[in-house]
Amino acid sequence: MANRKRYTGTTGRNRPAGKNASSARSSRTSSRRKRSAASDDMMVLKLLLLVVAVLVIFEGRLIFTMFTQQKGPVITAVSGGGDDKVQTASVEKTDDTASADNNSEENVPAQAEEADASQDADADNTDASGSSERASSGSALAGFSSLDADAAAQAQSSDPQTTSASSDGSSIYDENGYVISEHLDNDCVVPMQSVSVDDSYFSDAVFIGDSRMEGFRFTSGITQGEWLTSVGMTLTSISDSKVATPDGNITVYQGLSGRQYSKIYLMLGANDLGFWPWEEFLPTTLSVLKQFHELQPNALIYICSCIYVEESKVVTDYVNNANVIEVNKGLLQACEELPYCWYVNLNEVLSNGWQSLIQDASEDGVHLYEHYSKIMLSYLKNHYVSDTAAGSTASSSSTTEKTTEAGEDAAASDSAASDTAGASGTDTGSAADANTDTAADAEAGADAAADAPEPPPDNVNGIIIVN
Amino acid sequence: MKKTTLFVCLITAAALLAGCAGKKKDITVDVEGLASSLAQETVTSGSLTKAAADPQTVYFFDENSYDSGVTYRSDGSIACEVAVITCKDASGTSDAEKKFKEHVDSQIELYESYNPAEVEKLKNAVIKSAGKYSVLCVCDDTGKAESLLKEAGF
Repeated sequence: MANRKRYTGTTGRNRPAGKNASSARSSRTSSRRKRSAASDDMMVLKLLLLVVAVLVIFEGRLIFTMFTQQKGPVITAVSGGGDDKVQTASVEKTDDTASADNNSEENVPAQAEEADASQDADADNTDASGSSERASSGSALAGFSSLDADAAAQAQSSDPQTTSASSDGSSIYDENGYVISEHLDNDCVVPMQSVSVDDSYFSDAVFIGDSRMEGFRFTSGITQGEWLTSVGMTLTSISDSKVATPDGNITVYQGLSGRQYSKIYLMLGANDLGFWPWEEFLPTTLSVLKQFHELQPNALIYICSCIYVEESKVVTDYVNNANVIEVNKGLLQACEELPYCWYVNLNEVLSNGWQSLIQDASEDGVHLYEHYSKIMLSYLKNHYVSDTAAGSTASSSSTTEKTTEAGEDAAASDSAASDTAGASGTDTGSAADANTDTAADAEAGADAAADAPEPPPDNVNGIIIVN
Repeated sequence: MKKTTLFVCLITAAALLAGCAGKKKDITVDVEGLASSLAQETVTSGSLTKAAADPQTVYFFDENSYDSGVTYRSDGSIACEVAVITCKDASGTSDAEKKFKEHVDSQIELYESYNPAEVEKLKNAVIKSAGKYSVLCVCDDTGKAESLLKEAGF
């Protein structure tokens, strides 16, 4: 009998029979089970790896802290939305760059005891308004320095030109600490008052100006007033300047078109030092001031003189004190022509006596350090126009003429400045909400007239500081 | 068993992920200290002074969301500035960031013609919020600013 082929069925496989078949089946089953178990293990392993990856990504810092036992910060998620300007720069530790030319206010020489006459007429040729090359000079940070009279006095140079003495040995300062050579005998110069006002005097004032005025706002400590300031603002193109307000960026004229103020403080001119031709400066200035007056008929306009610059630090040739003098001539002339405008002679306290900014009063030769901003604020607090026309100024009789004019104009119900000064009597209606402090001003003026002149307060380094 | 293990792993992962985003409202920031540190340590091209003015009058925050704050500004020569404010609650920080951004945009527009060298700092301004606090930092060293903010919990 021939060997019979085993029945292989449709698959053709040899099927073992009997015990062999069952053992084969069981072996195949166990191998399948093994393969299945192995794949399950791999899946679990992958899941565990996924969990570890999640832990590392989201809690890696915490784990690191746990293992290194270092105290780390609490990790919090950033909740802010919107456009994010954060630049994910790498963290770099920078060393403080202590400059050899430390312009910290603590090391500033006594501004009243010294004056720098050794001005270098040469200037560098870069932009002066901002002075991009400023890093090399270095500076103290955060402006926390306080007035240190002793340190300032000790810093007095032996060079006679940097002392407070003039060429003949006499002091360049008067009894009030103001630079004698900067005195102006002019009716429209705001006189010094024997009674200083406090910040509330500025509550109905608006301050208009350039970066210097912005710097004054943030470094002088003043707490009152509205601000229409903008870096780069010029007197000659003021209509092009925009200022930030809650209602968006607007022009200065738009800013003056709403609320009525009693005082306008104007500090412009530093960005006009390159203006040309000078013959057109006065007409342009008059036009601006007249527009201010139309918008704010009851407001006194205090025009701050253009403060001198420290030419050795300025990097643009047209930013020089000769041009500052030209600008101030124009501003003073404007005040002479407009009865509601008064000239605030800031260079009385910020000049070194030689028609230049006090040495080291500024880092870039233009923008004042905090200490000098405070000096400027003190100056504004004891230089103001009192409400009454005659006898209201205790310090100078030369102002009577201007105030007399104002009084006459008020009698003619014409001058807005007089109306503002004497607001207790007259009211144009639209200025009702701007006259809250004028009654106080009237009282201050009356008291000043009634009281005998008092000695100036706190005379530190020859500069009157009123806080 | 395998399914049980898988289920446990998934639950653990979900719990860990949920735990990551639950602590932002617990942050407490020393506003004065942080502002001072930022002003002193991140600005090298000039100096900043703590302004007496309320930041609300500078950045025009919504009165309903703004509580208090500190701002450091320059003498007018540089664009650097620091502001750290506290809102009444965490929801107010969105308005704060919006106002910070508007302010920075306005400054960029001004400085482009006034002092272009400062524009880069403004474009790299750091604006962040955490909890009910918001920060604006226009500075010379944004890396340092980020580091200080991170240490403070931002």
